[in-house]
Amino acid sequence: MATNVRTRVADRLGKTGTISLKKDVFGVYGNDNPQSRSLLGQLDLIDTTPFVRVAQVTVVGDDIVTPTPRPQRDLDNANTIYQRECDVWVYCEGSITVDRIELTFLDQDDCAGSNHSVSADEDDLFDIGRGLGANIVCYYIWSSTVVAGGCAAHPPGRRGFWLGSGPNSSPASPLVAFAHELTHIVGDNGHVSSPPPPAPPSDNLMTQLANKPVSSTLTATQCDRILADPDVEHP
Amino acid sequence: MANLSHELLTALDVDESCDLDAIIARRDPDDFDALRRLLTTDPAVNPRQRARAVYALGRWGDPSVVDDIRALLPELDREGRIGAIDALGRLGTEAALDGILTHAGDPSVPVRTFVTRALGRIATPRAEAELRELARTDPSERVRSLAEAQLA
Repeated sequence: MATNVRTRVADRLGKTGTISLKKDVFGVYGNDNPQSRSLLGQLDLIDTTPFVRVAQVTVVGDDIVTPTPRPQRDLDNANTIYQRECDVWVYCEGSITVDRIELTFLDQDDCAGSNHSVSADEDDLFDIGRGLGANIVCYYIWSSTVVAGGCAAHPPGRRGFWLGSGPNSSPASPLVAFAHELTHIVGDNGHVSSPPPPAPPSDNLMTQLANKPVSSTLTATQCDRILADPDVEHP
Repeated sequence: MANLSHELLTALDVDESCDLDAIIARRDPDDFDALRRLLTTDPAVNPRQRARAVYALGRWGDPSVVDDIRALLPELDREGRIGAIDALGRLGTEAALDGILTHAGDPSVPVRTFVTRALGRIATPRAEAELRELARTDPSERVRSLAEAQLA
Protein backbone atom coordinates (compact mmCIF):
# COMPACT_ATOMS: atom_id res chain seq x y z
CA MET A 1 0.00 0.00 0.00
CA ALA A 2 2.78 2.44 1.01
CA THR A 3 4.66 1.82 -2.22
CA ASN A 4 1.45 2.12 -4.14
CA VAL A 5 0.69 5.50 -2.54
CA ARG A 6 4.24 6.70 -3.10
CA THR A 7 4.14 5.75 -6.77
CA ARG A 8 0.80 7.36 -7.46
CA VAL A 9 1.71 10.55 -5.62
CA ALA A 10 5.00 10.72 -7.50
CA ASP A 11 3.46 10.00 -10.89
CA ARG A 12 0.48 12.31 -10.69
CA LEU A 13 1.44 14.97 -8.16
CA GLY A 14 5.21 14.98 -8.63
CA LYS A 15 5.92 14.45 -4.94
CA THR A 16 8.98 12.36 -4.05
CA GLY A 17 11.14 11.74 -0.99
CA THR A 18 9.48 11.76 2.39
CA ILE A 19 5.74 11.88 1.80
CA SER A 20 3.28 13.40 4.26
CA LEU A 21 -0.15 11.82 3.90
CA LYS A 22 -1.81 14.97 5.20
CA LYS A 23 0.03 17.50 3.07
CA ASP A 24 1.32 15.64 0.02
CA VAL A 25 -1.56 13.22 -0.52
CA PHE A 26 -4.56 15.15 0.76
CA GLY A 27 -3.20 18.67 0.23
CA VAL A 28 -4.35 19.60 3.73
CA TYR A 29 -2.31 22.36 5.37
CA GLY A 30 -4.79 23.92 7.80
CA ASN A 31 -6.48 22.78 10.98
CA ASP A 32 -9.51 25.03 10.57
CA ASN A 33 -11.83 22.43 9.05
CA PRO A 34 -11.25 19.09 10.74
CA GLN A 35 -13.04 16.13 9.18
CA SER A 36 -12.54 12.50 8.26
CA ARG A 37 -10.81 12.09 4.93
CA SER A 38 -10.76 8.87 2.93
CA LEU A 39 -7.35 7.77 1.69
CA LEU A 40 -8.89 5.41 -0.85
CA GLY A 41 -11.17 8.14 -2.09
CA GLN A 42 -8.24 10.55 -2.40
CA LEU A 43 -6.14 7.99 -4.27
CA ASP A 44 -9.04 7.44 -6.63
CA LEU A 45 -9.19 11.18 -7.30
CA ILE A 46 -5.44 11.27 -7.86
CA ASP A 47 -5.67 8.39 -10.33
CA THR A 48 -8.74 9.30 -12.30
CA THR A 49 -9.80 12.90 -11.96
CA PRO A 50 -8.51 16.16 -13.46
CA PHE A 51 -7.21 18.62 -10.89
CA VAL A 52 -5.87 22.12 -10.49
CA ARG A 53 -3.02 23.04 -8.17
CA VAL A 54 -3.35 26.07 -5.89
CA ALA A 55 -1.32 27.56 -3.06
CA GLN A 56 -2.40 29.79 -0.21
CA VAL A 57 -0.58 32.75 1.33
CA THR A 58 -1.83 34.54 4.45
CA VAL A 59 -0.41 38.05 4.78
CA VAL A 60 -0.11 39.40 8.32
CA GLY A 61 1.49 42.38 10.01
CA ASP A 62 2.01 43.20 13.64
CA ASP A 63 -0.21 46.28 13.50
CA ILE A 64 -3.11 44.40 11.96
CA VAL A 65 -5.64 42.33 13.81
CA THR A 66 -7.92 40.61 11.34
CA PRO A 67 -10.42 37.81 11.64
CA THR A 68 -8.55 34.56 11.19
CA PRO A 69 -9.02 33.29 7.65
CA ARG A 70 -10.18 29.72 7.15
CA PRO A 71 -8.09 28.50 4.21
CA GLN A 72 -8.82 24.80 4.76
CA ARG A 73 -12.57 25.38 4.88
CA ASP A 74 -12.24 27.40 1.69
CA LEU A 75 -10.32 24.59 -0.02
CA ASP A 76 -12.72 21.92 1.17
CA ASN A 77 -15.74 23.90 -0.02
CA ALA A 78 -14.11 24.54 -3.39
CA ASN A 79 -13.42 20.83 -3.68
CA THR A 80 -17.01 19.98 -2.82
CA ILE A 81 -18.29 22.31 -5.55
CA TYR A 82 -15.72 21.41 -8.21
CA GLN A 83 -16.06 17.66 -7.70
CA ARG A 84 -19.85 17.72 -7.58
CA GLU A 85 -20.36 20.11 -10.49
CA CYS A 86 -17.42 19.47 -12.83
CA ASP A 87 -15.65 16.30 -11.69
CA VAL A 88 -12.48 18.29 -11.07
CA TRP A 89 -10.61 18.54 -7.78
CA VAL A 90 -8.43 21.18 -6.19
CA TYR A 91 -5.01 20.21 -4.83
CA CYS A 92 -3.26 22.52 -2.39
CA GLU A 93 0.50 22.57 -2.93
CA GLY A 94 1.26 24.62 0.14
CA SER A 95 0.04 27.22 2.59
CA ILE A 96 2.31 29.80 4.17
CA THR A 97 1.99 32.89 6.34
CA VAL A 98 4.17 35.90 5.58
CA ASP A 99 4.76 38.96 7.75
CA ARG A 100 4.42 41.76 5.24
CA ILE A 101 2.44 44.51 6.94
CA GLU A 102 2.79 46.79 3.92
CA LEU A 103 0.76 44.29 1.86
CA THR A 104 -2.03 43.70 4.37
CA PHE A 105 -3.92 46.68 2.91
CA LEU A 106 -3.40 46.67 -0.82
CA ASP A 107 -2.99 49.86 -2.82
CA GLN A 108 -4.94 49.07 -5.97
CA ASP A 109 -6.19 51.16 -8.89
CA ASP A 110 -9.04 48.87 -9.96
CA CYS A 111 -10.22 45.27 -10.07
CA ALA A 112 -10.91 45.16 -13.78
CA GLY A 113 -10.78 41.83 -15.55
CA SER A 114 -9.39 43.42 -18.68
CA ASN A 115 -7.02 46.35 -19.06
CA HIS A 116 -6.26 45.99 -15.37
CA SER A 117 -3.80 48.55 -14.01
CA VAL A 118 -1.30 46.57 -11.91
CA SER A 119 -0.24 48.59 -8.87
CA ALA A 120 3.16 48.31 -7.19
CA ASP A 121 1.50 46.53 -4.26
CA GLU A 122 -0.12 43.95 -6.55
CA ASP A 123 3.21 43.47 -8.26
CA ASP A 124 4.79 42.71 -4.87
CA LEU A 125 1.92 40.58 -3.55
CA PHE A 126 1.61 38.33 -6.57
CA ASP A 127 5.33 37.54 -6.40
CA ILE A 128 4.84 35.78 -3.05
CA GLY A 129 4.30 32.03 -3.01
CA ARG A 130 5.39 31.46 -6.60
CA GLY A 131 7.81 28.76 -5.45
CA LEU A 132 5.19 26.69 -3.67
CA GLY A 133 4.47 24.53 -6.70
CA ALA A 134 1.16 25.91 -7.94
CA ASN A 135 0.56 28.33 -10.77
CA ILE A 136 -2.47 29.80 -8.98
CA VAL A 137 -2.04 31.46 -5.58
CA CYS A 138 -4.72 32.75 -3.20
CA TYR A 139 -3.74 35.61 -0.90
CA TYR A 140 -5.54 36.31 2.37
CA ILE A 141 -5.15 40.00 3.17
CA TRP A 142 -6.88 42.55 5.37
CA SER A 143 -8.28 44.88 2.72
CA SER A 144 -7.66 46.89 -0.41
CA THR A 145 -8.39 50.36 -1.66
CA VAL A 146 -10.94 48.82 -4.04
CA VAL A 147 -13.14 48.04 -0.97
CA ALA A 148 -14.02 44.52 -2.06
CA GLY A 149 -14.33 41.09 -0.52
CA GLY A 150 -12.07 39.60 -3.13
CA CYS A 151 -10.50 40.28 -6.49
CA ALA A 152 -9.18 38.01 -9.22
CA ALA A 153 -7.39 40.70 -11.24
CA HIS A 154 -3.70 39.82 -11.31
CA PRO A 155 -0.46 40.75 -13.04
CA PRO A 156 0.12 39.02 -16.39
CA GLY A 157 1.68 35.62 -15.96
CA ARG A 158 1.06 35.40 -12.19
CA ARG A 159 -2.37 33.87 -11.80
CA GLY A 160 -4.09 34.35 -8.49
CA PHE A 161 -6.60 36.27 -6.44
CA TRP A 162 -6.99 37.79 -3.00
CA LEU A 163 -9.67 37.57 -0.33
CA GLY A 164 -10.24 40.30 2.26
CA SER A 165 -11.20 40.22 5.92
CA GLY A 166 -11.62 43.83 7.10
CA PRO A 167 -14.95 45.39 8.13
CA ASN A 168 -15.64 46.69 4.61
CA SER A 169 -13.86 43.90 2.79
CA SER A 170 -15.07 40.59 4.17
CA PRO A 171 -16.49 38.45 1.38
CA ALA A 172 -20.27 38.65 1.18
CA SER A 173 -20.34 34.90 0.51
CA PRO A 174 -17.58 33.69 2.82
CA LEU A 175 -18.26 29.98 2.34
CA VAL A 176 -17.66 30.06 -1.40
CA ALA A 177 -15.63 33.24 -2.00
CA PHE A 178 -12.48 31.17 -2.59
CA ALA A 179 -14.27 28.94 -5.11
CA HIS A 180 -15.85 31.98 -6.81
CA GLU A 181 -12.56 33.82 -7.26
CA LEU A 182 -10.80 30.61 -8.28
CA THR A 183 -13.41 30.13 -10.98
CA HIS A 184 -12.66 33.60 -12.36
CA ILE A 185 -9.11 32.33 -12.85
CA VAL A 186 -9.68 28.71 -13.88
CA GLY A 187 -11.52 28.87 -17.17
CA ASP A 188 -11.67 32.68 -17.08
CA ASN A 189 -15.33 32.48 -16.06
CA GLY A 190 -17.13 35.80 -15.68
CA HIS A 191 -20.07 36.80 -13.53
CA VAL A 192 -23.54 35.45 -14.09
CA SER A 193 -26.49 37.79 -13.70
CA SER A 194 -29.21 36.82 -11.30
CA PRO A 195 -32.67 37.63 -12.69
CA PRO A 196 -34.42 40.54 -10.97
CA PRO A 197 -37.19 39.79 -8.46
CA PRO A 198 -39.78 38.27 -8.40
CA ALA A 199 -37.87 35.57 -10.32
CA PRO A 200 -35.98 33.24 -7.99
CA PRO A 201 -32.32 34.13 -7.80
CA SER A 202 -29.89 31.96 -9.68
CA ASP A 203 -27.99 29.46 -7.54
CA ASN A 204 -24.90 29.73 -9.73
CA LEU A 205 -21.53 30.15 -8.01
CA MET A 206 -20.66 33.05 -10.32
CA THR A 207 -23.54 35.34 -9.38
CA GLN A 208 -22.63 38.25 -7.13
CA LEU A 209 -25.31 37.43 -4.58
CA ALA A 210 -24.43 37.45 -0.88
CA ASN A 211 -24.41 34.34 1.31
CA LYS A 212 -24.15 31.85 -1.51
CA PRO A 213 -24.11 28.29 -0.10
CA VAL A 214 -21.78 25.37 -0.84
CA SER A 215 -24.64 23.92 -2.88
CA SER A 216 -24.01 26.66 -5.48
CA THR A 217 -23.89 25.30 -9.00
CA LEU A 218 -21.77 25.59 -12.12
CA THR A 219 -23.15 25.14 -15.64
CA ALA A 220 -21.86 22.67 -18.19
CA THR A 221 -20.34 25.56 -20.12
CA GLN A 222 -18.52 26.83 -17.05
CA CYS A 223 -17.24 23.31 -16.35
CA ASP A 224 -16.08 22.96 -19.95
CA ARG A 225 -14.10 26.16 -19.57
CA ILE A 226 -12.60 24.90 -16.30
CA LEU A 227 -11.64 21.58 -17.87
CA ALA A 228 -10.01 23.35 -20.80
CA ASP A 229 -7.92 25.61 -18.58
CA PRO A 230 -4.18 25.17 -19.08
CA ASP A 231 -3.64 24.72 -15.33
CA VAL A 232 -6.02 21.78 -15.09
CA GLU A 233 -4.02 18.55 -15.23
CA HIS A 234 -5.71 15.52 -16.78
CA PRO A 235 -4.96 11.86 -16.00
CA MET B 1 -30.51 58.22 2.30
CA ALA B 2 -29.33 58.68 -1.27
CA ASN B 3 -31.68 57.56 -4.04
CA LEU B 4 -29.60 55.08 -6.00
CA SER B 5 -30.35 53.44 -9.31
CA HIS B 6 -30.65 49.66 -9.23
CA GLU B 7 -27.44 49.35 -11.23
CA LEU B 8 -25.45 51.63 -8.92
CA LEU B 9 -26.89 50.00 -5.82
CA THR B 10 -25.87 46.60 -7.14
CA ALA B 11 -22.37 47.83 -7.95
CA LEU B 12 -22.02 49.22 -4.42
CA ASP B 13 -23.30 46.07 -2.72
CA VAL B 14 -21.60 43.21 -4.54
CA ASP B 15 -18.36 41.59 -3.45
CA GLU B 16 -16.12 42.82 -6.24
CA SER B 17 -15.54 46.29 -7.60
CA CYS B 18 -15.58 45.54 -11.33
CA ASP B 19 -19.17 46.77 -11.78
CA LEU B 20 -18.30 49.99 -9.99
CA ASP B 21 -15.20 50.34 -12.16
CA ALA B 22 -17.50 50.18 -15.19
CA ILE B 23 -19.72 52.90 -13.71
CA ILE B 24 -16.69 55.09 -13.04
CA ALA B 25 -15.58 54.64 -16.65
CA ARG B 26 -19.06 55.62 -17.90
CA ARG B 27 -18.95 58.93 -16.00
CA ASP B 28 -22.69 59.59 -15.81
CA PRO B 29 -23.34 62.81 -13.83
CA ASP B 30 -26.34 61.19 -12.14
CA ASP B 31 -24.08 58.46 -10.77
CA PHE B 32 -21.63 61.09 -9.56
CA ASP B 33 -24.37 62.95 -7.70
CA ALA B 34 -25.72 59.76 -6.17
CA LEU B 35 -22.25 58.69 -5.03
CA ARG B 36 -21.60 62.12 -3.58
CA ARG B 37 -24.78 61.92 -1.49
CA LEU B 38 -23.29 58.88 0.23
CA LEU B 39 -20.44 60.99 1.65
CA THR B 40 -22.18 61.52 4.95
CA THR B 41 -21.94 60.17 8.45
CA ASP B 42 -25.72 59.75 8.48
CA PRO B 43 -26.22 56.36 10.18
CA ALA B 44 -28.78 55.52 7.49
CA VAL B 45 -25.91 55.18 5.02
CA ASN B 46 -24.35 51.73 4.87
CA PRO B 47 -20.62 52.15 5.79
CA ARG B 48 -19.55 49.75 3.04
CA GLN B 49 -21.51 51.73 0.45
CA ARG B 50 -19.93 54.93 1.75
CA ALA B 51 -16.46 53.36 1.52
CA ARG B 52 -17.21 52.28 -2.03
CA ALA B 53 -18.40 55.80 -2.88
CA VAL B 54 -15.13 57.22 -1.58
CA TYR B 55 -13.26 54.71 -3.76
CA ALA B 56 -15.29 55.64 -6.84
CA LEU B 57 -15.13 59.40 -6.35
CA GLY B 58 -11.38 59.31 -5.74
CA ARG B 59 -10.98 57.69 -9.14
CA TRP B 60 -13.61 59.87 -10.83
CA GLY B 61 -11.18 62.78 -10.65
CA ASP B 62 -13.60 65.62 -9.88
CA PRO B 63 -12.04 67.62 -7.01
CA SER B 64 -15.37 69.14 -5.98
CA VAL B 65 -15.80 66.24 -3.53
CA VAL B 66 -12.57 66.94 -1.63
CA ASP B 67 -14.27 68.86 1.18
CA ASP B 68 -16.93 66.15 1.55
CA ILE B 69 -14.26 63.47 1.95
CA ARG B 70 -12.25 65.62 4.34
CA ALA B 71 -15.34 66.15 6.47
CA LEU B 72 -15.76 62.38 6.76
CA LEU B 73 -12.19 61.67 7.84
CA PRO B 74 -12.49 62.29 11.60
CA GLU B 75 -15.43 59.89 11.79
CA LEU B 76 -13.84 56.97 9.96
CA ASP B 77 -12.20 53.84 11.32
CA ARG B 78 -8.73 52.82 10.19
CA GLU B 79 -9.94 51.03 7.06
CA GLY B 80 -12.11 54.00 6.13
CA ARG B 81 -9.32 56.52 6.76
CA ILE B 82 -7.03 54.63 4.41
CA GLY B 83 -9.65 54.69 1.67
CA ALA B 84 -10.30 58.40 2.15
CA ILE B 85 -6.60 59.30 2.17
CA ASP B 86 -6.10 57.23 -0.99
CA ALA B 87 -8.99 59.08 -2.65
CA LEU B 88 -7.66 62.48 -1.60
CA GLY B 89 -4.25 61.58 -2.97
CA ARG B 90 -5.80 60.79 -6.33
CA LEU B 91 -7.77 64.07 -6.35
CA GLY B 92 -4.54 65.90 -5.59
CA THR B 93 -5.63 69.47 -4.75
CA GLU B 94 -4.09 71.65 -2.05
CA ALA B 95 -7.21 71.11 0.04
CA ALA B 96 -6.84 67.36 -0.45
CA LEU B 97 -3.24 67.67 0.69
CA ASP B 98 -4.39 69.52 3.81
CA GLY B 99 -6.75 66.65 4.59
CA ILE B 100 -4.05 64.04 4.07
CA LEU B 101 -1.59 65.88 6.30
CA THR B 102 -4.00 65.83 9.24
CA HIS B 103 -3.13 62.11 9.37
CA ALA B 104 0.64 62.35 8.94
CA GLY B 105 0.87 61.52 12.64
CA ASP B 106 -1.87 58.87 12.66
CA PRO B 107 -1.13 56.12 15.21
CA SER B 108 -1.69 53.41 12.57
CA VAL B 109 1.31 52.44 10.46
CA PRO B 110 -0.90 51.36 7.51
CA VAL B 111 -2.66 54.75 7.58
CA ARG B 112 0.70 56.58 7.54
CA THR B 113 1.80 54.29 4.74
CA PHE B 114 -1.10 55.52 2.63
CA VAL B 115 -0.39 59.13 3.68
CA THR B 116 3.10 58.59 2.27
CA ARG B 117 1.78 57.07 -0.95
CA ALA B 118 -0.75 59.90 -1.36
CA LEU B 119 1.99 62.49 -0.92
CA GLY B 120 4.07 60.70 -3.53
CA ARG B 121 1.13 60.70 -5.91
CA ILE B 122 0.52 64.46 -5.44
CA ALA B 123 4.25 65.23 -5.78
CA THR B 124 4.00 69.02 -5.49
CA PRO B 125 6.86 70.87 -3.77
CA ARG B 126 4.79 71.05 -0.59
CA ALA B 127 3.95 67.34 -0.71
CA GLU B 128 7.60 66.50 -1.30
CA ALA B 129 8.63 68.66 1.67
CA GLU B 130 6.23 66.67 3.82
CA LEU B 131 7.63 63.44 2.42
CA ARG B 132 11.13 64.54 3.41
CA GLU B 133 9.85 65.23 6.92
CA LEU B 134 8.29 61.75 7.10
CA ALA B 135 11.48 60.20 5.76
CA ARG B 136 13.38 61.90 8.58
CA THR B 137 11.07 61.64 11.57
CA ASP B 138 8.43 58.92 11.21
CA PRO B 139 8.80 56.32 13.98
CA SER B 140 8.24 53.46 11.50
CA GLU B 141 11.25 52.36 9.49
CA ARG B 142 8.87 51.14 6.80
CA VAL B 143 7.18 54.55 6.45
CA ARG B 144 10.56 56.28 6.42
CA SER B 145 11.92 54.04 3.70
CA LEU B 146 8.71 54.32 1.65
CA ALA B 147 8.92 58.13 1.92
CA GLU B 148 12.50 58.00 0.70
CA ALA B 149 11.46 55.77 -2.19
CA GLN B 150 8.69 58.19 -3.14
CA LEU B 151 11.22 61.02 -3.26
CA ALA B 152 13.72 59.11 -5.38
